[in-house]
Amino acid sequence: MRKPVLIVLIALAVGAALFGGAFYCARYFCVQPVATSTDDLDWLRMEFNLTEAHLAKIRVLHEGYLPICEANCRNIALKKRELKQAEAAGTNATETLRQLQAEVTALRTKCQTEMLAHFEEVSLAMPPEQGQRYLAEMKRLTLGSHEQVEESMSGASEHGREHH
Amino acid sequence: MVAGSVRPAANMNRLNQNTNDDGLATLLRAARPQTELPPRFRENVRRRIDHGEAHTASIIWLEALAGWLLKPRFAIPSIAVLLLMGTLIGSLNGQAQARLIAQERYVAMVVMPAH
Repeated sequence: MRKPVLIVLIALAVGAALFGGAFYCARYFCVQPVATSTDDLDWLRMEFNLTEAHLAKIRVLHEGYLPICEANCRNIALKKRELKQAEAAGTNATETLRQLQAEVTALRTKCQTEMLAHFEEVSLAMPPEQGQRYLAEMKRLTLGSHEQVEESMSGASEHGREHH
Repeated sequence: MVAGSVRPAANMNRLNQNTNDDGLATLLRAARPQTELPPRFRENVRRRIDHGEAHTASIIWLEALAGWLLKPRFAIPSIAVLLLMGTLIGSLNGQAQARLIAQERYVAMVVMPAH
């Protein structure tokens, strides 16, 4: 009775080890090159099956856009710091605070507009079908999350209104 | 005459034997302890027999499986299938993971972070 049980158990253990080993090795060899890569455009190459010509065109657009994006982020961060300092100083000038808030909002809008314009440029540099897919995916990843937050907040406020 | 003399003797022997058997049976019956059977005795016995049969069946099944596993004709293709399945599923999973890592890196570069 013991011997067959032992054989079956050992066979199961060996089978699991073989399967697990093969699984982790294959997974490692697929993930490792991407994880150690420093190319920002790996995803575009993998997801949209782009040729080197398309990728070169997109790389120019990407490298041109990065300084704009960084400048926008820097400006927003500076303006936000300014706003926080004004709030911390206990400024009573509501007008000043309101103006600073409006400036932060305007900078955010500018940043978002330029970001969307960049996505459109990149999508036009791709084959039409892939470009449309790229644009839809980027809008989903960027605006989609904002919309979800807005929807959840409006849902919460409506829910709150029901109770009050 | 000869046959007639033998037949009564045989009948006598059988009669004695029957008498002895009856006596023995009476003795045995008298010697048997007249104890009450425990409740659900028959069901328990039946259950034990069934359990024993199932136990034997599982042993046979395990022995057959163990024997099968030890046969190179079965073991080698099984190892190959396991390795192939592991590699296939691992590479599919790895590709999905790699795609996600690459997507996160691209999005982090071009998307306005939450300011």
